[in-house]
Amino acid sequence: MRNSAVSVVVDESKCTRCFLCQLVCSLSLTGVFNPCEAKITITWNHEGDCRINFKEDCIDCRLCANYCVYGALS
Amino acid sequence: MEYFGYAGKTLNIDLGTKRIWEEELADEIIDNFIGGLGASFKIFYELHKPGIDPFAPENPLVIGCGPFVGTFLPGSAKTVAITKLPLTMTIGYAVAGMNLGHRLKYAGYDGVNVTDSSNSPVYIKIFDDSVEICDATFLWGRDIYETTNWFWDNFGTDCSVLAIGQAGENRVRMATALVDQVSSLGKGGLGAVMGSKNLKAIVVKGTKGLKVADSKRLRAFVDGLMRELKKASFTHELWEYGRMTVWDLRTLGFLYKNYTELFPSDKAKGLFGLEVYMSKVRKGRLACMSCPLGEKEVLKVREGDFQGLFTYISNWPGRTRDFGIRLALSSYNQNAKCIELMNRYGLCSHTTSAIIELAIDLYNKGIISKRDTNGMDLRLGFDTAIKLIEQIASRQGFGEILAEGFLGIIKKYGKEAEKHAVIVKGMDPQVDPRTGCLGPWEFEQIVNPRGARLQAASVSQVIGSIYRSEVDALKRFCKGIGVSEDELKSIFNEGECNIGRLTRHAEDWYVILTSLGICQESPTLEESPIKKYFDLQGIAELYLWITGIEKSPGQLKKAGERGWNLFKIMNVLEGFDRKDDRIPQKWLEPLSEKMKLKDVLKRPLTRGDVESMLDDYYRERGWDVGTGIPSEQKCKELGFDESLIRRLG
Repeated sequence: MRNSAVSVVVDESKCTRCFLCQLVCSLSLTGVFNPCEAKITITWNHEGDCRINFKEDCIDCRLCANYCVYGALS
Repeated sequence: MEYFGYAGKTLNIDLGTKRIWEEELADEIIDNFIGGLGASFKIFYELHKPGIDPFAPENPLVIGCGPFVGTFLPGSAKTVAITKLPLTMTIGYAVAGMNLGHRLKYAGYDGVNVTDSSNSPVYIKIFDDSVEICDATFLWGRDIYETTNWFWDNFGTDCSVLAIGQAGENRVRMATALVDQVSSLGKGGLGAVMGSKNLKAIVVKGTKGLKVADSKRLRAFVDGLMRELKKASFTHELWEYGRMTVWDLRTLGFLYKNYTELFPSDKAKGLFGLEVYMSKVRKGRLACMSCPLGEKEVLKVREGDFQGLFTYISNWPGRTRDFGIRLALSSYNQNAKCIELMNRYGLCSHTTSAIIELAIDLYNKGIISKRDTNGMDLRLGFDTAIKLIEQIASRQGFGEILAEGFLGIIKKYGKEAEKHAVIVKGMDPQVDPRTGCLGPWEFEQIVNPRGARLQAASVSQVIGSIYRSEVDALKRFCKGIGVSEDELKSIFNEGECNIGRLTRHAEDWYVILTSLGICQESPTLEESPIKKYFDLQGIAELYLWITGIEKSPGQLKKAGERGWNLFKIMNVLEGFDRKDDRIPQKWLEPLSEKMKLKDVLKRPLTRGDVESMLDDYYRERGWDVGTGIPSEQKCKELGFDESLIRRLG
């Protein structure tokens, strides 16, 4: 279930799994590159289809969307 | 001690005794070899005994990633692996992307050194400090997709998986390993070395994260890069079409059949080109971790043969060269099927397709007979390709002979076969210089100690300039990578560029980039808007912000040179010297009336000219021109110890 409080528009078909969103999110929040501390999660299935979600405590700063060059987050 | 950029530890795993232990990353390695590629050369040198069989338990497998890996600096996801390669018998390195390096850093390691062999199938599980050698009997016999999916199903997709398929298990000499089902680690048979160790996979998950010394400056720098990327037309094209943006450049150098014939470019475009690719087969895009210029892709065949087939791909134009062109396939569907099988079985598509092509050529010339092929008729086209891929991966039938690689084929069929094999040190080259010129990439294929490989002449930043004979652009590039004024004078003279001498510096630059973890593909491509930041001065600043360690451009340049020399020395100790830096005979013969071996100024070249280029290359390196071996003086200048110098004799 996607966090409805987050204003970022998601197009999962455009996600390339570059993880720039997680990298910048974790750096911004913790000062360390650590994807598991990021407030956005990315998983995929056996056919490469991505699922993107935001954790409950995402602060909707939209940094992830600024760093997404592929159009998955806007 | 607190580290920035570096994790600060390497992991040692002895598969024989099952002992697992950590070691601190030595200051000497950081000071002299930076990390990644350079550090892995040094660690391998200390572990390796020259002359051993690549499949002997004593052959180490050294995996490493540099201090930039784990950050969000664009294109910093390169992981390297060093081992003695069964295809060539050289000490070789492999470089891959995707997530392995980042996950390893987050688990707390800069590298993993695997020694000895297990007596039963295992996988290595690295989850932070919890490192285990686990039973993999249930995975043995499964392909790379099935294996990797098992790990992702059971441990989550936030782990990275390096796995081999059936080809690696069967010790096929061109077996590779794939990182996360996509990125090949191991042209030359690294997958077969893993197979010989009964090592099915390495799975890595990390939760510790990675600190950098000055995250504010790094963040401001990357913010700026992202803004530039969004503005540039090159990036928008790359985001839309991926590697297909360079289809024309690639086809320029890659369209040939059997090294004797050109494949018509309009036919290639119609069968495999952009329109077909975008409308019939491409499903989505894929990038290595931290890369805003990702060029890997997801394929799904939409109609016709193999409808519904799904596979990942790192380079459609390159794979089209391998299968579609080389083996004269008649549709993109067939091309996609060959790619899928390569990925599943874990075979290097460059080498496998070149070997199948050679086998068909030898069959047509009567050197290989139906008795050898168990009655199979070898013809260009999909039927032969698919049968031989299956036989090679399983070492069944005629595949048993082909699985031994070029050297095995030459051993069996003798001088006649050798005459027709286009190889350097037992490895197939990627680009035929007769379709362009003998520039640094093409020349690198002759001198690379591993065997034919072009990327190490890291001139992506100026590759178009080379083909356009733009000497001034080459000069600017050389200045940017730390070539001194005196060296510039010997490289550039009266409007000419000495490719032998330039190649030496491009190699050193490659070692620097790959030791740090920077990709020398998209981010540094000539058209990339951010390539201007990747010069030696810029790299030195980034190194300071990431690691907190001050290194001058000169120190970085020297570390690059040191790394390459150690790589060369390891191969000299294996018995390789100037006689092995040999241009394939076929390149000295015309490909067509107009396509003959030429230099960058489009003047014809003879064998004597190529020998002169080799002389210049060795001189620029400070190596003995007669033998192509690093001189004692060069070894001392680079700070190698007396024992190494004694070993060189």
